Amino acid sequence: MHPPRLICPVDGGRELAWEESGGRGTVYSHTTVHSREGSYGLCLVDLEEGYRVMAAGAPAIGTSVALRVEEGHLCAE
Amino acid sequence: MRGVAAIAGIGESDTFDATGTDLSPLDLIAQATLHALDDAGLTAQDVDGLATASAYYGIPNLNVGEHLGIRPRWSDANNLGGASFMSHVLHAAAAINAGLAEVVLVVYGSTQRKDGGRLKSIAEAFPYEQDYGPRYPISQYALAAHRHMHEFGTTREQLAQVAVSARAWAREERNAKAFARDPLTVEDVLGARMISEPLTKLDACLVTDGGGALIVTSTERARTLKQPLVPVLGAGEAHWHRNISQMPDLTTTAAQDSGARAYAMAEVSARDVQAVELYDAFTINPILFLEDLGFCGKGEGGPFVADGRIAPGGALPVNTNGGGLSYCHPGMYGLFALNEGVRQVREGKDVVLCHGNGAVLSAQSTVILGSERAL
Repeated sequence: MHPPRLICPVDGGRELAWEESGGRGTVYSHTTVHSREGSYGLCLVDLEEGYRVMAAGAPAIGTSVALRVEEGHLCAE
Repeated sequence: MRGVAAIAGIGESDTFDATGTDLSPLDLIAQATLHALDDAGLTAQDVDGLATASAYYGIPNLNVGEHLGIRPRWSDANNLGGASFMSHVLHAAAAINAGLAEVVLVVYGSTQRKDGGRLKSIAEAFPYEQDYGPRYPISQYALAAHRHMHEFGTTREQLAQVAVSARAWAREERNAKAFARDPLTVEDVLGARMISEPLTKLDACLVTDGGGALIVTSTERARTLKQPLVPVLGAGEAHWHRNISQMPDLTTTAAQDSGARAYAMAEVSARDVQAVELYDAFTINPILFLEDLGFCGKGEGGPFVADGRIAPGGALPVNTNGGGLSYCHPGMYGLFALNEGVRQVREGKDVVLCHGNGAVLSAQSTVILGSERAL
């Protein structure tokens, strides 16, 4: 699950442990925001481990991505 | 609980644009309340229950009660964003059924247009999303729209048809009060300023000021009042997530649950519904809700709204006042959808569905109103 919490939101389980994700996943959806300061993309990525995160970048839906961590942020491209 | 309560009065503020005035949200609430009380033939002293939600006041029932001189014995500050007011009607009906209140005022007001023209929101930042800069809330709806387009082939033109149909309703003579009544074409929507792809400024609801109020009372009491009976046949609420990255499936909302609960209580199905008032914060919303509330199959919402089916003269009247896209949208629209549902029943419809949406497709609440004949 993500984000971390004390109870499993699916089955109420309490026997939980930290795990490291491989960062590989598939783009679920994306949008590009247009503002006076410029444009930037953001997306939702379904990780192979079975959870979803928001990340920077807007690759096409269905694209396989390997998320990178840059200055504490997830980047999809 | 089918039909135990009824909506006996509705009211709205005199203006949806308080720019240049000294009107506060409480003033707009008072305007709307006075109209709703007059509509019902009641006074503030008859009110013994109060339900409200606000982005202005931390404990809004206290502000509203003090301002209007109402001392409720039952008070509901449920805040489910724009869906709050459908839930207020459900909770009010339950309270009336339980004998905890007899005349409940459901009320809302905002001056967000006057205050700067951006959504007035008390939404907290979500640490796992905020750094990526989603423009709240349009980017969250844009993510849902893109996913719907990807899975089902929904087009930007079909999304635009929702806004064009809403505008056509707003231009009807009976909707003279609608905030936006200029002609609108699909090309206008597609060519408007892109905010968060695929949604343009005209895929987004208005930013207006406004207040709305309605009175819920027992059906027995409502029969003694001024207006034709508008019983609450059924209602239901549901929510599955807060943040868009936590929504299990961006093409399926908890309206499936709230709608099923409302239909079960009302003992009707989508086939019986003669008009639909949906919270259309963005053009993708009615498409999702028409699917999730059973008016078409999952994924069929795009073709369903094309070709004028939900516009004046179409097979299914949807958002007959112009909705949040063209009638008014003072931060939260839910109460105005309910008021329009009441008007539709008073004008002859037998079963009308009103659906509220809160936050980012998060909270879903459904109310089914009926006529005396449908009771």
